[in-house]
Amino acid sequence: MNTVLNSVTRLALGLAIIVSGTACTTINVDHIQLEDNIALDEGDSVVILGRHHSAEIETESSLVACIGGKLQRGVKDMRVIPELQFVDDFYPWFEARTAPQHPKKLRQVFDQPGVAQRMEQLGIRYFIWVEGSTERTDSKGTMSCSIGPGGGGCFGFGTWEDTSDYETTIWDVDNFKEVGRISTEAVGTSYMPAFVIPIPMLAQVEGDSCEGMGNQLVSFFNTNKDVIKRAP
Amino acid sequence: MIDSVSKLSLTLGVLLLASGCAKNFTVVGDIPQPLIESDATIAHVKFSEEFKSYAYEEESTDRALESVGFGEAQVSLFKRIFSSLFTLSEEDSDAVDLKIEPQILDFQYSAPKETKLNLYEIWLKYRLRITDHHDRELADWVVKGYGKTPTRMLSSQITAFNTASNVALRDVGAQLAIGFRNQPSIKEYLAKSQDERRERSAAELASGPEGPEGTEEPADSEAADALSESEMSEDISLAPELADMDSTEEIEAPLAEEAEASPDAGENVEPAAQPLESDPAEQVPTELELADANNFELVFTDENPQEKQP
Repeated sequence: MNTVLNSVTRLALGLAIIVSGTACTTINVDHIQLEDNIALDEGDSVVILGRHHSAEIETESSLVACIGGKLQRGVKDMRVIPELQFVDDFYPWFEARTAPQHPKKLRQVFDQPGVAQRMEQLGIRYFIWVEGSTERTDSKGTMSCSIGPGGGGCFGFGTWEDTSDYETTIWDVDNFKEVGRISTEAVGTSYMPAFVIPIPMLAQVEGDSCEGMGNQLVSFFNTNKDVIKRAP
Repeated sequence: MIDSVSKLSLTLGVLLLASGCAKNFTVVGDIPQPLIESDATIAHVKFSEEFKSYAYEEESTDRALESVGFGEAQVSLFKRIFSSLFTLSEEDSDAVDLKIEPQILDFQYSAPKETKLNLYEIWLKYRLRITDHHDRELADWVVKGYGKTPTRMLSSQITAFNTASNVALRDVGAQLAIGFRNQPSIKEYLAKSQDERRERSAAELASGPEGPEGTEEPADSEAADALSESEMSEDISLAPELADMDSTEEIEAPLAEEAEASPDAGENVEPAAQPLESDPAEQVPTELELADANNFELVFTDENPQEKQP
């Protein structure tokens, strides 16, 4: 009996390892470039900021960090300033309530004493704003788990759908103009069948959105093929 | 068998105990240094004992938290913000230009259990009584702050609550840092104080043995005035665009009527800001233009405007 149980457990474990992360995500990325010439000099830096201006909109910090990492690896000589560091350095100008919503307003922030000087010290050339979030849009199924003297286990099947919708805008600090916009929509369904142990097949919706937006941003700044280095 | 059950019970007990520890705690403030230019105004912030030791006490027995120590964090916030705007004086003396007395009116929170969202939300409401050095009231200002846990995967309840509290405190701090000097009554008072200070220093220079003679003083004074005006115009142009003060209320300011007369009165914005921001094409028409507009309307009032277009 024990041998059979062990085999079942091993089989379930093996299946879990094989099928984990195999759930699919459908992603749609649209890219609009508003300026022909996207200049990026050596030593220029960009800052990627999430929008948090209302109770409903809370762009995930993890997504912002993920896009930053992707851009840092993908574009040679570009420095990406971490969101938290930037927001603290420029407090109170980029808080949820006070952050500029348009490039014109950004110019007014630059007019404040000390702001332009600090921006110049950091070599900030582009602002990248990410707005949106990933939400659970549907869930179905049931699963029950029990534990007893002889052991425990779960039985059932659960499925849920996550949807992400992000809008990324790129502002050029030199001209205080919007130079590009990337829209990303992703839908992914995750499954979790449970036969003794739950086997998660998770759709990485947020991760896939990051991948899509990050690749698009890398290609956005890839005006000169020579300045791009391959991501490891 | 009994051993396994005991171990399981023990583990569950430890987990329950750990999750139940977050009933009483103190918020640790973490507000960065504002990037704001300070001026020569000397201010004194008066913290009452009640304010310094403020703790939110939960009256409902259904909620997990029992008390939240908030005094230290809010004192630290106000000190940080006002020390970046003015020169702070520890003592309430005659040398003080401005006296500020904050009071907490309300502290509310919502827990994940209540909202079904995996985050804490915090609402703060402060009242600031601002007086001049003669204790004459300049403004009575209500500032509200909102904060929520920025990420949904925080390590503990305490961390989540503390983070949300700091976001709310930052929100209050941002409004004070940007909006305080733009409050109409305070702005007028500060401008007057600066003028008086300038006149005093000019008089001291004139009476001094090595000071510049009378002919040079007006030039310096004019330059200082010009500088002051340019500084003010910077503030003015900033105010309507950035000082989004929709969560603030100036309830008893001497210039409240003037603020209400402005289209941006709800944002407590100086009315003088409008001309600087307005497009020349949108400026108020002259009497002649108005008359022409009336004539135009009279002529075509019964006709379809689209038919007149080429």
